[in-house]
Amino acid sequence: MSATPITKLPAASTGTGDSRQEEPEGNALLTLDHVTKAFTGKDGSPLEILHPTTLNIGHGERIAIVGPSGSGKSTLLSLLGTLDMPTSGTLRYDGENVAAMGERRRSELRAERIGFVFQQFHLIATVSALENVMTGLQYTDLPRRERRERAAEALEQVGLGERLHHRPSQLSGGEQQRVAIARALAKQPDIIFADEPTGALDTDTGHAIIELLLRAADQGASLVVVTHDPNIAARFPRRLHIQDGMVTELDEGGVRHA
Amino acid sequence: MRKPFATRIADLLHAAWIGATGRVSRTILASLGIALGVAAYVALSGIAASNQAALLARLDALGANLQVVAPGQDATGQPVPLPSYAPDTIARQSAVERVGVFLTPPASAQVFKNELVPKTNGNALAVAVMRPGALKAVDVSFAQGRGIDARNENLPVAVLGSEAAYRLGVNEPGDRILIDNEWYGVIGILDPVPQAQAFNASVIIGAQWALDHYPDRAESIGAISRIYVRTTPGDAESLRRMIAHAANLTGGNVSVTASADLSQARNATNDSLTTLGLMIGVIALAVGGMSIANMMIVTVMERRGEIGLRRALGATPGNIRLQFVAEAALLSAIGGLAGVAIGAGAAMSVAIGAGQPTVLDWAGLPMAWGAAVLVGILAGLYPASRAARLTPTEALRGE
Repeated sequence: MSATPITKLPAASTGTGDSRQEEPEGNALLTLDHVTKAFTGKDGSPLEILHPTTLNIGHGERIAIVGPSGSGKSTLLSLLGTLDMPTSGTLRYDGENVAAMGERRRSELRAERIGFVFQQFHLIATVSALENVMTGLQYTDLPRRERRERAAEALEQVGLGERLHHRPSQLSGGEQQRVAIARALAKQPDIIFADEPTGALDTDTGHAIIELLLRAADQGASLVVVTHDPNIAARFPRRLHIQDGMVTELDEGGVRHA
Repeated sequence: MRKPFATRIADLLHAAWIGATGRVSRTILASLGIALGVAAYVALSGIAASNQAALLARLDALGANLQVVAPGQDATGQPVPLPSYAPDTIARQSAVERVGVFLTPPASAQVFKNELVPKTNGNALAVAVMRPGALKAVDVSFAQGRGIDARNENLPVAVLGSEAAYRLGVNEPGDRILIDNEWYGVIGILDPVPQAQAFNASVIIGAQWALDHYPDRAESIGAISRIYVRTTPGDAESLRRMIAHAANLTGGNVSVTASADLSQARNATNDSLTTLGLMIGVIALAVGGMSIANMMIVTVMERRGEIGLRRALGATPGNIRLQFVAEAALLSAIGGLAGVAIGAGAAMSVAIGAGQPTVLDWAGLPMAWGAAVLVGILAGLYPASRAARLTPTEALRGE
């Protein structure tokens, strides 16, 4: 069984044979066109962490990215989330070239349309759950009152309606991650990126968190989850495998053939 | 749609507040430097101001507001006598508190301890002729005895300046001295008079007695030789003009001089004490600023995760920079307030303890606070730009 890196496909035909193939590329939420990421190694030579990658992510799509640690999962996620810029190739968000946007416009994009969930939750320890979720809206144009309302709603949605004023230290790990999910949901994003969201949680809690993310995505957001847990990946209709900087599409049956 | 300015400020202050109050003990320690700096400045300038107020009060008592009116000279150098109404017109001016009138002493009057002293052994003592109350305007104090008043002004009595008493060998009131071959009873001896040193070597007799005793010279003795004018403190030059005009309404020349030139001392003291306070304050603030900068650098390193998170949530590098500058400014603002309170309290208690007037440089307090905030902003700039330079991925990895 030979894995076929999607990067081998010519740019003109981005088809990978999956369902998104039917959509015109312009309709995809995110498109990567021969995107690479390289860092400068210790000896000064460039080190390509992500080899040329071409893929689309459609609206409302749910994707799991799996792969061993150090394979480039987080790098890919940073690129998709506009937190980092590709070394070469083009990343388009809703048809717009992200590299050409400028820092301010990219920040606006993240503020308004992209939600993040991290393995380490990244909650501000000194403020309440509600304040943490409101921080997720701080860089939007919403007035403070509306941010508060939306934050309370989002916490309600993740089942923490009774814990608005608890600080992170007063919450369990699963609850903290739910606060982080509420923070991502409150802005009603186009897409949610979750980087190992269950990595710091026990199995049952982890599954509950994935359940929550999938349910949240039912409201229309795309969902991209990085995980190294095959059981979790199995719950996603589309799975990308990444190893040594090479991205391949998997389907339910295993490796997708070209 | 752009975020309204008020929301922007509210967000900024909120983020700064969360950051600064998240680690209370560190916040206190970091802003302590600024607090001590501001306190040092406020306390020192307050103590300086109290010292100065006390010193100025003493200077004023001595003679900063004591003017001496004397006959002027006309164009040919001839003295222009002071009109006899001058003491009354001067006393009527609102800035004038007290007027002391001295008449012209009898010419060539010599003073001796007794008749045995050879007439050639003059002791360079001057005779002054005073109207009752004149010494009050000079504000002298008596080492012993008392002055010449309405009850004894027509008696042969004398008041001795401190130096005069020493030269005449008079130790206490009750002794007799010989003035112009006439015995006078000494009724009082003055303390040294720094504000009008001429009195130290003077023998003062009463005007009424002098006029009665020298009836043939009544006209020359009756002419006013000096008027000491005690005024409220104020601009010396305009006071002088006002007194000169009042002393001779017809515009004749009048000499008005400050009894002692203390106005310069007043200004000099003012400057040097304030400069000292300012210098110490500036040094202390600089040290305080460094402690805030130091703490902010540590904070930025520690809170890389939060910085990464905020970038992921849509904060621009500018947002991050502003947040940390605002946090540093908040630290110094809190420290500055505490410093103003501590400094003012210290200055006041020192002043009260020393029995000095409690004077604070009120206008200086908001300025000291403002300087502290400015120092905080400056101290925050470098750490904040380090925070802003972190890329989101670096920052997120950092925790």
